[in-house]
Amino acid sequence: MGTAPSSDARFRKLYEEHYADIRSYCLRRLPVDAANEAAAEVFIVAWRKLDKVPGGTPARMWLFAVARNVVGHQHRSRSQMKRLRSKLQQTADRHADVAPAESVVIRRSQDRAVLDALARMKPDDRDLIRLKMWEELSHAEIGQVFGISAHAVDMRLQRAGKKLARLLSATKVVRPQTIPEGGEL
Amino acid sequence: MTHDQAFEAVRQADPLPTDSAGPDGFLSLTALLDRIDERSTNVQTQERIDGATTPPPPSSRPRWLVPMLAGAAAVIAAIVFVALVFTGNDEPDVIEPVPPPTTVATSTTLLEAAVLSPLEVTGVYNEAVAAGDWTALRALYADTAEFEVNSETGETFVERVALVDLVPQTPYDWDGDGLVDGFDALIDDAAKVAAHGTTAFVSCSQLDAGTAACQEVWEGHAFARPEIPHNTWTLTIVDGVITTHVLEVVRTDNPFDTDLTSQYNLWVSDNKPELSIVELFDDIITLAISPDTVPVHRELIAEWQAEG
Repeated sequence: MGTAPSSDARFRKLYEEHYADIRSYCLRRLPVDAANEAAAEVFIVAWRKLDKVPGGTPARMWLFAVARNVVGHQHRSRSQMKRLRSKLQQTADRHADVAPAESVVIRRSQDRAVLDALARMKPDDRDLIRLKMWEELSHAEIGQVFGISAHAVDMRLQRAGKKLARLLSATKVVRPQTIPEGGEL
Repeated sequence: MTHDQAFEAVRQADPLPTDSAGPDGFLSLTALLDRIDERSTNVQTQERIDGATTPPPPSSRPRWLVPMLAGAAAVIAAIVFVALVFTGNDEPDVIEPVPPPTTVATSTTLLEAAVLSPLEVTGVYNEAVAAGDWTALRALYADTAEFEVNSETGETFVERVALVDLVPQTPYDWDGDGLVDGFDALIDDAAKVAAHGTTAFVSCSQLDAGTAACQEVWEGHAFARPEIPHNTWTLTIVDGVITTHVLEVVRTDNPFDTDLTSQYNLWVSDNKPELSIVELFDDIITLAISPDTVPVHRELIAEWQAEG
């Protein structure tokens, strides 16, 4: 019978296996400084709640779920700041959940159009798509992050995908299946 | 474009900085542990005081909250009523329903007003609903505002937790803060009546310097059954923002005339083939409510009514 790993060892394993992914998740959704803070916050929460972090693969989904909440709180704080400054503009709000320009490398104008279309979607639908395409989570894994079944994820992604396709078609974003290397972007 | 192609476009638009794996801000384990050490005292203290501030793992929320909050959200979303609870003999100032503005007020103009009286707050409330200005509506509430719903069953809940993990599809995250909470439930309710053509949501009277008593009026609502009474509200207003919103709900049948809503659905199908019925309706008698559909429905309903 093996000995249970110490808290330090468990935490070290969590860090080594998941920190880069969690930081990437935050970088896709927040400015760099805020993303680094958010990633650290996720692991501070993990340290505090280490006894509640599930073992094995589910630990990754647990961390994503916490990251989702932490990023949500960041957006909330930023929204509150905006309100206090009376600089509320709907356009700004609609783009509030997209990683701001200083943190992203937008290689093509089409990417901007895609991110704009994403910003017009319901936040949950947007997050479903991003978790699938950017974090490359399976539907079952996304279900764990959202607390819903994989089947529910299937259905909601189906609907969200159709909506996104309509939005992109409306903005005439037509993307080839592959972009030739060195081709015009 | 198919939805697979749309997903692929999203993959290619991944905004992750190319140097994300570099040293800029990437914490080593040692640095992370140092950070934890720095915060441990505060964290432990805070955890003892208020464990609820920590983002919980998905499974930590009490399961009894699910039916309670989902039920309450459904009640709020479905609803409607007007009980005449707060009418008295000494009739204080009464603010009449605000007519629809001739121009759409912007968030900034709505919020630039200084500290508002309770009546002014409820006046702005009507303006915001009529204008579809959900940002201004949300800004009328203090960030610490409490939202209490008293239903006819005697159940009461004070909703200050995120609903997003429990009922992620309902209501909409209207204020876009990443949380679906009581504020969104309130805005969802207002958005629903706004979509149905309502030009004035509530009529309020001022009880004292910090309290307003209101009843929903739904003036201009295209589908409300006339015999259905409306909800009443009691608002506590401090420094110009709503700090508590108590909603008294009286259960009733569907407050909407489903014959009318289905007629409207069929009219849209027949006369607006360029519009997506799936996007505009949840089913033949239920309008889909979202920031995108509310202004569309308002315009279409006006046209439908004009055609008799």
